[in-house]
Amino acid sequence: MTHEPEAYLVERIRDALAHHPDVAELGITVRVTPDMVFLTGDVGTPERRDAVSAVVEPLAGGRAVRNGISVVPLSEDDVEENLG
Amino acid sequence: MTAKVRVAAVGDVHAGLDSRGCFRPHYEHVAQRADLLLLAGDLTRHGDPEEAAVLVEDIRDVGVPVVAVLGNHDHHADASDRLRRVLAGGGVQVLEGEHAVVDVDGVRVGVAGSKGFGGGFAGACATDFGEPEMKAFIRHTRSIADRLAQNLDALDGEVDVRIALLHYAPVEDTLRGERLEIYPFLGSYLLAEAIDRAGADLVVHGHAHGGAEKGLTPGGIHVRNVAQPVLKRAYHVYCLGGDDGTVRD
Repeated sequence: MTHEPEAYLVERIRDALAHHPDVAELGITVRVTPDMVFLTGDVGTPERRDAVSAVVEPLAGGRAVRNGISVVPLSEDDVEENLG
Repeated sequence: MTAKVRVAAVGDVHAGLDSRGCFRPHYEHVAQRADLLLLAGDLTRHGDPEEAAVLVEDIRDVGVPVVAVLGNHDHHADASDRLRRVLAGGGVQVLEGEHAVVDVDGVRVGVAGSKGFGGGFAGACATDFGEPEMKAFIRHTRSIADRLAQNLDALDGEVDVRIALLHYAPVEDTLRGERLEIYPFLGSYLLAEAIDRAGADLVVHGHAHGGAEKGLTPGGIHVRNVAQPVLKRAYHVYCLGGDDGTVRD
């Protein structure tokens, strides 16, 4: 077999993202096509978003890595909920 | 209960060495908006005590009591005891199968705290049957749920408001948006059953980054998923008690 099935590559990438010290994220969605790796989800800092690409690129087997990960906003607002 | 209690809550802040100073600007005014700050687990990325120190530095002296539970990330480095000590040194009260009582201008707020665990939800829940590993998995959740009920029971009649603080989810409502296949790793109905049995005014949890904020236990208790990626803000404030008794968004 010359090509790793995409399903296995998805899990190999997810495992790498969970264990890499600069990322440590379990909730990133990974989708692999013959040409691309798509990444979506949320992380806490821009550095972590960039680190995700750095971790995935060596694993992508020449596919383009599309990083669609968002950085969670930390703004305050005045909304509150009254639960009685 | 007559006075309103304002509870700020957030989970899954995932502090790391790269987030030093990020939280402080958003939490230094929390005392103007809330009487109490709850942290619903995953305080750190890896469970490294140095990461906890980053968080502590940012929320030190916020001016309200801070009560927390740990999450799965906080256990990854197998250093949860040291993590707890760092947090305690910064004034964060960490609960695991324990409860705390906070006095808010004469209103006694009881918090029963536990990480919780997984297993799934009614009708599709793992069973303590078969291999030792499977039995240990579900017995662990059941043990945590029983302890949670004991702590809520211990608060009954002793406080004006009871809150269950968890990391894992007790209901499916607040998992909407997550993939169905991972529900058993996100929570357990055993937690909701324990809470409904003992009673509470509010349940707060995190862990499900792709879930929804609002839900109810089968017994009708409000559940809020306060994972920061769900809230998309620094924290949310929930008001308990007060005069009108209505839910306001």
